[in-house]
Amino acid sequence: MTTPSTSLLQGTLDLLVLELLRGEPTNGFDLAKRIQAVSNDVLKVNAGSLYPALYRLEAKALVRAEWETTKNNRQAKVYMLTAAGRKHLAGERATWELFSGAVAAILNRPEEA
Amino acid sequence: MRALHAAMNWIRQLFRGRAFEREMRAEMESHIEQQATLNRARGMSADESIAAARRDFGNVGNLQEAARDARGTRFIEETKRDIVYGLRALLRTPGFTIVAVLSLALGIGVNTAMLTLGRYVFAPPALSEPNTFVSVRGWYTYDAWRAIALKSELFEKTVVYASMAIAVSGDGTDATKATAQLVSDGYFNMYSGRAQLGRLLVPGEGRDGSGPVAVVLSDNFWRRRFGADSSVIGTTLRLTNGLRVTAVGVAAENFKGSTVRAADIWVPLAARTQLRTFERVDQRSISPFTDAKTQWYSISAQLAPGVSAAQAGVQLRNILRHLPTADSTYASEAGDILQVGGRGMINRNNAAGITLAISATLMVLLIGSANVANLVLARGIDRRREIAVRLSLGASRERLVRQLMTESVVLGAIGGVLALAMSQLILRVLSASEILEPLDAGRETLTRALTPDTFVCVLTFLMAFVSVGASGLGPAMRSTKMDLGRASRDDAAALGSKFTRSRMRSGMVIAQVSLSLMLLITASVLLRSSVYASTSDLGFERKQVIATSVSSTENGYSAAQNLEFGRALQLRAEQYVGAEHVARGSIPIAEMDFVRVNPASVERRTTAIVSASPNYFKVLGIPLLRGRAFADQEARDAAPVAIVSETTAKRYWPTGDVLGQRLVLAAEVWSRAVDSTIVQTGREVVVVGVVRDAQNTGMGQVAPSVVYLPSDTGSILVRATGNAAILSSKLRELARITDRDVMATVRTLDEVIHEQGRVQGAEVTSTYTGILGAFGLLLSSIGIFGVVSYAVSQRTREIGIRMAIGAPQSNVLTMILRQGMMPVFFGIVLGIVGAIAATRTIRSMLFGISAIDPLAYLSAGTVVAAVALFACYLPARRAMRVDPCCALRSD
Repeated sequence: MTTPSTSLLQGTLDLLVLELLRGEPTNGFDLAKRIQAVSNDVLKVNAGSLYPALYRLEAKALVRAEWETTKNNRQAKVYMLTAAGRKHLAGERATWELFSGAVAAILNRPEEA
Repeated sequence: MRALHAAMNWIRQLFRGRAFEREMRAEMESHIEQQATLNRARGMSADESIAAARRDFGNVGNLQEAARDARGTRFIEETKRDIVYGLRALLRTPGFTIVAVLSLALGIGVNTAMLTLGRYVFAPPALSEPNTFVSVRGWYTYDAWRAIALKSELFEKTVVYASMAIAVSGDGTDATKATAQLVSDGYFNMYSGRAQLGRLLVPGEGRDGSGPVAVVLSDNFWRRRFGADSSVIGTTLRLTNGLRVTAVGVAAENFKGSTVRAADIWVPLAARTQLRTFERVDQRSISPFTDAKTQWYSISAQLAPGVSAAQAGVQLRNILRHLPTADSTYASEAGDILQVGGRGMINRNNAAGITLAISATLMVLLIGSANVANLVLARGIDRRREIAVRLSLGASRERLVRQLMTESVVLGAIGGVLALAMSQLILRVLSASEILEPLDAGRETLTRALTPDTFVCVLTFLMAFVSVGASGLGPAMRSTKMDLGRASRDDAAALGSKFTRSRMRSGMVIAQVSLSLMLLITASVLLRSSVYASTSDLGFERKQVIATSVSSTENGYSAAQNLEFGRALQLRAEQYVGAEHVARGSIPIAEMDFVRVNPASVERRTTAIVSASPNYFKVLGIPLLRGRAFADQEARDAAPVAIVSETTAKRYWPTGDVLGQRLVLAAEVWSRAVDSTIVQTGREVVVVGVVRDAQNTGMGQVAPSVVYLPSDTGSILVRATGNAAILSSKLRELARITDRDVMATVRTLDEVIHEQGRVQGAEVTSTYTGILGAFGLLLSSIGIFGVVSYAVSQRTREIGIRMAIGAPQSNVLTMILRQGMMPVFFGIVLGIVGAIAATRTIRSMLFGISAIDPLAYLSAGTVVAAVALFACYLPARRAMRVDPCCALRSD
């Protein structure tokens, strides 16, 4: 595996977490694995930044957590999106798309003579 | 909405700190296990899979710290922990805690109590329109007020008021002394008065002159005199001069009007001529201020719109300039004539006492704070190892200072709570004693008024935090700045130079000792003065002579009525104790007039005039040295004869024979007590006798010049052969039999002396400073004890070595005592210097002894030295018993 050259932009982690939780409630471990898998191993999130992010989102009441039993019969804390989180995600997504579109437009502009 | 939700969430988080920690650990454990399971599935061994998972997860501690930060409750949680830690630390050292908390409670409690009391006593009056309110300095006649009130362009309205002592009777019970306040229309309105029963006075009240005059009672008087009986409304009472009044209402409980303490009864100004037999009889009075024949009024006013106080003041002076000078007391004085707002109740007479009380109170706070500072300093030294360890483990300096400050705040909070409790205790004791009697507000009112309000509570805690914080911050900063290596090796020098430290602590002991000594010296000087007042030989009998006087102004008697009553009462007294024990004349000290004798002579000093019946000298025990006493006939006729005191004889006839000499009485008679007919200007009298000097003109005035003139009127003086108290009550009964509605004042000469303002003031102030001094001394001795104990514990090893090589126990004792008493000695020297300065300010309250009374200084100094020595001795004794073997092993 290549070195994780792609460090996450500040604030992007929150967006990714919220987006992945939109699909289904997930525990921390699975969340880390899914970020890695969905991004084709490009984005690697370590526990040291994932958990503080989750707690921060929880403190802002964007996600909430419950203890559930996982498929291998283990207690795990499962995070899910709240209504506020859903709204926040929509806003953040729009902002991100605007931002990435702008960055792409600059990067892909036709060569000037 | 979301913000609210987040806030709620945050608050919830605060309360589930421990649950959060548990969940966090479980969650991370679960994460690691899941990773390990995955690892095992990839073929790792059990041990290896867990190790790899942990490695992968990273530093759990760092992560947890970051997670805690993410919750945003870290600061609060740390503070919570600091508080718990602080409390535990305080509990671990109960000695320190008890002493520190008690020092705070005592030092601040006394201040809180004084603050509460001061706020009650000096509360500005409630004003309906405080912004335009002005009070006019000085006193004015009725005419002057009319002249001022007519200038309507300056003031929207003006009110006048005057207080006077009166007697209330006529409802079937005995006559009672009361303070009446004559008030003009609008008085209640200006001071936002309300009635709790009936009504207040309405404009124009009492002006029609027919029927009883409407009056309003104060809450206190209503309770005191009428037992809070609401049926008093509508009853007719009799005041001085036979003025018939009807109580129409009772003012609200907290209504004080213009005065520091409420009057008992408010009478409309229209009734003034009926209440007083005289008003401005004498136009030629030379000293309006001492002339009792004029009724003086105070004036308050509401400025007219658009008029400033400065403008009004200038205008007012113009008005006064056109009035007769005898109409006001302030026209010739400098300074602002108008005072804005309702403050300024402190008059110059009690300013010295109040300043003394305030400074004494603050001194106790200083002494207490010095103790706390001393303790915190000592503790900082004891805790340096703990702090060093924490610093080495990576605690930030800021974090440690914060923690130490939190501890200080915890200490301050406990101290503040106890200080409030202590102040309540002090106030309860005070209101149960007679010290607050001059306030005379009634027990219930006083208790309610003296409950601390929010302002007082806030200030109390502020005092607590400031005194702990100020004494805690320095050591906290210093102890966190230390050299780690040396501190963990327990090197005392790690915490700054040992010399500076001990000098600082000694400095505090010096301050404490000197402040306590100042308080105690002041107290004992005042005490000596009041003891002197009550025990010294004044040249006349004070314990066994009872004076009965009837004030014609209070009872509204005419001169003839007064004379008649006096005769009747004299007769009854003579029947009871025998004529030889009854005399008439001036009451020593209380009733005295001054004249100039022989105006042609070079002598400018005044001479006291005392009226005396033939029995006067025998009853008072003033021995006749030469000549003879007055004859009965001379007393009846007010014959032109006189008896003089030794000093008078020496002053006017230094060489020759006194008997048969003539003396001429000069003008400037401010006659109050002595019948004015016998001291007319230019009257010539022949000296028929000389009596021994007596201090009958005033306390502390040794051997005054006195001229006695014959008279058969004046106060009735009775010599008791047996118990004076029994005779006093008998005389009161006789006065009642003579005229039920008359209020006679019956007291022994001892009580007369005691009632002199200076004696009372000195006693109250002496008690107060004495108590504070005792508190201060207690606190200081704790401080001294602490400092010496600490020094002993520091020097245990040294002492052990000394003893091991043969130093006798007495040497060790002397060494420790010398070290401990050094700052005490400096403190005493400084205290004496301070006391000399302090007692100068109370000279006006003293008599008979000097402000630098050696005995007072010596005794206070001895007490302080003895207590300090004892405080040193206790730890020194411990040092003496040091076992060399143990000491050498101790660190």
